Amino acid sequence: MNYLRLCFKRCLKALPAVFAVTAAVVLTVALAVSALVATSGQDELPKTRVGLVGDLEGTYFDIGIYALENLDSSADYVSFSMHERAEAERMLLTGELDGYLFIPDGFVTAIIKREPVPLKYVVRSEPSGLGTALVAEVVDIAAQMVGETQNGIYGMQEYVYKTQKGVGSLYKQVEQINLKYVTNALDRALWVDVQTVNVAGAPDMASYYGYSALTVLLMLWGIAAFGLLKRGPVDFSRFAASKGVSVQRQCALEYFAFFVITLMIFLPIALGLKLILSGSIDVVFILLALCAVFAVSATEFLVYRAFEKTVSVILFWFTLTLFSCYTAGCFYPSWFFPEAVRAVGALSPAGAVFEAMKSGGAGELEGVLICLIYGAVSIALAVLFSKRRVSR
Amino acid sequence: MFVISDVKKNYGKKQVLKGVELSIAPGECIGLLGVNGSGKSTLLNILAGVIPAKSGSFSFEGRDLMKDRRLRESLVGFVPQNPPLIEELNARDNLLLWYEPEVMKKSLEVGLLKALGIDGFLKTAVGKMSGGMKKRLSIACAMSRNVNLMLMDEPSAALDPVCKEQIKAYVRDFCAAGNSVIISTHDITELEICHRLYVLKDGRLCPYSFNGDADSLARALL
Repeated sequence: MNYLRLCFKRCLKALPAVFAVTAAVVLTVALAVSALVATSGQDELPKTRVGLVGDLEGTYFDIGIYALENLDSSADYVSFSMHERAEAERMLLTGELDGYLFIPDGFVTAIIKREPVPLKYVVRSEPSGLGTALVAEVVDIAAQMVGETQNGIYGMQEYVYKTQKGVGSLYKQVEQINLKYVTNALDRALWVDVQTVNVAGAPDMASYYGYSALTVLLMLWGIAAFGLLKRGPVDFSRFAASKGVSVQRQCALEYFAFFVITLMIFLPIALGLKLILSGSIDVVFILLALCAVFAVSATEFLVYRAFEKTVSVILFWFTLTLFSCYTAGCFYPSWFFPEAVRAVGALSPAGAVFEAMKSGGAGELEGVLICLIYGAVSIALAVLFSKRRVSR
Repeated sequence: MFVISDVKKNYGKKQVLKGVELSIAPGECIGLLGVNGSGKSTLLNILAGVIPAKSGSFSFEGRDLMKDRRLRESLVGFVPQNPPLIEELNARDNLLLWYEPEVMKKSLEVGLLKALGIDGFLKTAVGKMSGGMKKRLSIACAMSRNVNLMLMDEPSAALDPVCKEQIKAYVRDFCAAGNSVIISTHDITELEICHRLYVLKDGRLCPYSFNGDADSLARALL
């Protein structure tokens, strides 16, 4: 009991410094998240900027651009601007445009004559982000829209010409067909009502990022808490062993003190988060939160026992945190990753914890086993490293 | 009498101790000499119960101390080379790890802790102590039980002459009370308090008689 009391006392003495570092880390993360949330409103989302170059004259062209900018459902995401070619290229290279469309001469006339000429779209060789990739989508959609619209109109025109009599009424009927078809094409978003169905056990996005933030904080705790985790002198371990406190017992008690303090800090945060996200806390989530804290704290404990120098530990753990959190999907939804990356991420420390938090949030016990395995194996290896250190 | 019989130890394929034999009578101070890496600290760690021996025995009055952990802890104290102290805590907290509060209080008033001068820096953090204070505190921690044999691994290392004399005086007093000491040392000045000297060479103990000549000592160690 004296040794356990010593471990707690040592941890408590180091806590003020640990809290200072943790507060700095949390503040930095909170500021970054706040900035992200503040710019996530629909009105402030940057639009994909597409330049228009080439044969920009003509009523039909003006109507088409007006329709895309004001009537089409893509108006919230894409903006068009007209430029000379040299200016468009310069703006593309400086990032002022995400891409530009080159309209060849006689484009509109060619469509009317049912002999369309291809548009060209130009982007930078290195994609600057999703905007550049979206340009290709925009062009594809536009080309598809123009093509299918015209096919429909031509088809109806052929029908009208064959079945109706009189040029006057024929002209009006074709015009009406054109207007109706274009309106339908522009309002295509109304044809489909997209509904999301929650898959059993899958968290919504708020829960997803809430648990991922908690996972990242738990992982970063291994750096902030170095004052609690750093090893004592080897001669102290030898001395304690000579006094009957075996190396195994030293490890167990030192880890227990660290685990309790980590739990006291992170369990309330986890429970508070669950309460905010779902309005309730259940036993399953508490159990999984305990397992998640056990897994990460044990792994952190192992790393500090395996390395000689504290600096080496911190560098290693920081790198592992970044890699593990990224592949686990903490920064970016993991379903975009290839299967191999997702498999590696799921087995990493952050992956094990993240999965436990997500399944706990859904009331399932899926993550318990892997967390327990992580914890048990880490403690066992920590004891082995400590024994090896003492016997050298 | 403590008896060390045929103690062997190897690390992998390297055999560090090849059969150490030694008897220690009450009131004796045994000096253990040897070059770096000869196995002095290994032998002391085995006797203290920190690491196991490959084979051999260590007994007191016929009772095997390698198997009876509690008896060994009550009879043998160990002072490692570097102070076995927690830097973040003060002397009192380090002592409370090994002393019962009542025993410690009594010892501070009239006992060992008073004799070592621990009462003078009880609330000083270990990180702020001098080398001599740390060594005295280490000895105090090792002596939390009234042990009969003290194992000291280079007790005077990194100490000034005044502190060395204090440590030597304490060892003399300890032996005079009928207890025994094994000192592992490189310091010639410590040899004068030893009743017998041994050189640990090629994994075995060889008796040695020091004539005051450092060169002959160096030759004996090689």
